[in-house]
Amino acid sequence: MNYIAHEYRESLPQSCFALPWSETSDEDALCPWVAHLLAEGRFWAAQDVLEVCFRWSGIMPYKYRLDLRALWNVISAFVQLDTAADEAPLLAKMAVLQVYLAGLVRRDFNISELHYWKDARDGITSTEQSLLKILGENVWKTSRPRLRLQLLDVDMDIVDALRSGQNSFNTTNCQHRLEATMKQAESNEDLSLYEAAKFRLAVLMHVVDPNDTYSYPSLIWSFPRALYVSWREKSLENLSKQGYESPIALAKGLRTQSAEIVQSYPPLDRATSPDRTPG
Amino acid sequence: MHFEIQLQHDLPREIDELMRMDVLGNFRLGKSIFERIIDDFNKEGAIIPWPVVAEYLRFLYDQGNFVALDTAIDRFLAKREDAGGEQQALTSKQIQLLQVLQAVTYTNKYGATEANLRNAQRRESSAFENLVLSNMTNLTEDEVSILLYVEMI
Repeated sequence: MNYIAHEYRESLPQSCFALPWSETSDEDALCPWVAHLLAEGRFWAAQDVLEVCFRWSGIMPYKYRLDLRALWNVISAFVQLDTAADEAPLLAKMAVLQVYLAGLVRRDFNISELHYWKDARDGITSTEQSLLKILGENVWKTSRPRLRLQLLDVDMDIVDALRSGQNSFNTTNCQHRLEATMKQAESNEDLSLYEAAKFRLAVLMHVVDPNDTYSYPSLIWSFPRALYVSWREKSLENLSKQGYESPIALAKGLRTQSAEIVQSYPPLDRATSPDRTPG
Repeated sequence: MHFEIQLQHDLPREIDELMRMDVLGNFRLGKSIFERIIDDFNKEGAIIPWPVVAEYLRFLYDQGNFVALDTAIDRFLAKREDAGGEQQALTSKQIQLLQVLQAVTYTNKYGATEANLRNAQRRESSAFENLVLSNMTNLTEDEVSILLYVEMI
């Protein structure tokens, strides 16, 4: 099974690539499109479509509604296919499940959607076991899907903490996991994941306000802003109950204490090239 | 086997392996191999096939390496201008795709200050408009994939 197959792509009728949503179509067009791409073995295109649809539904939920049940049925059917001996579809399953789960985490917290989260996480666990057998522990442990999973697990821990109403959420464990993710991402030269982990760490340590994600364009869609905004508000509220007069003053104090720690992680090589100027 | 000969006969397999590195996140090794392939094409004065261009740019985008992405797009566009006529390396549609991708790269590279956002918005709007006007329905999956990836459709 190929990861890509250009000669195959070229042979397909171009009508296959009609847009899932347009002014004249509705959400009903999405699931058949994703199902078609998965059935044809064009996993990475299916992953892209899912990613974009979650983004659109996040921007304009009144216009682009996602039928999560129908979407999960399509993904679930794909995940249940027997591909245990084939690496590419297994990695594709992992990618599609992670896009779906990340899409759910990015949506506003909604108790009625929780069972979809659990189903997707269960699917990831079983796929992870199959991938471990094929790739071996060394490759899997350093791989991008594994690092993405670590970020998702931190996100989901925060969801759990908010859902269960924990008054004190210990960020130390999350900090250690995010640092481990950053270390491996740096080794892989995975700048995108490194920044994603670093930004989460900075938010958890109150160095930045999650509302500032507009300053980090490449992070806007990979970062569940609503979730971290909720967490931050809850965190400041809890700490202010402990005797701090002003959450704003508290945030400033925390920022001063924590900034040095976060800033000790260097930016990787994505700075402006000296021979180019904006404009 | 000589590397260039192997490339001629087995390009999809080479690219397939590189995309495996992309999926697994092995950007350190993948980028150096991609650059070696592109250098080999350049040394021979051969046109770099679009699948190689498209997957290389996507690889850099996945990596989050916007400096390298911007430089690579500049290089591919310049090569097309150098070639000229029937020898040009890229079609007009592919050039427009590169311009859209470059516009999206802009804010990631320079940061989202208000002035830069306005500038990028103007570039994206112009490049995307050109692309849609040219013939949206005739895009191949590679091209759709790039556009989807840069959130333009």
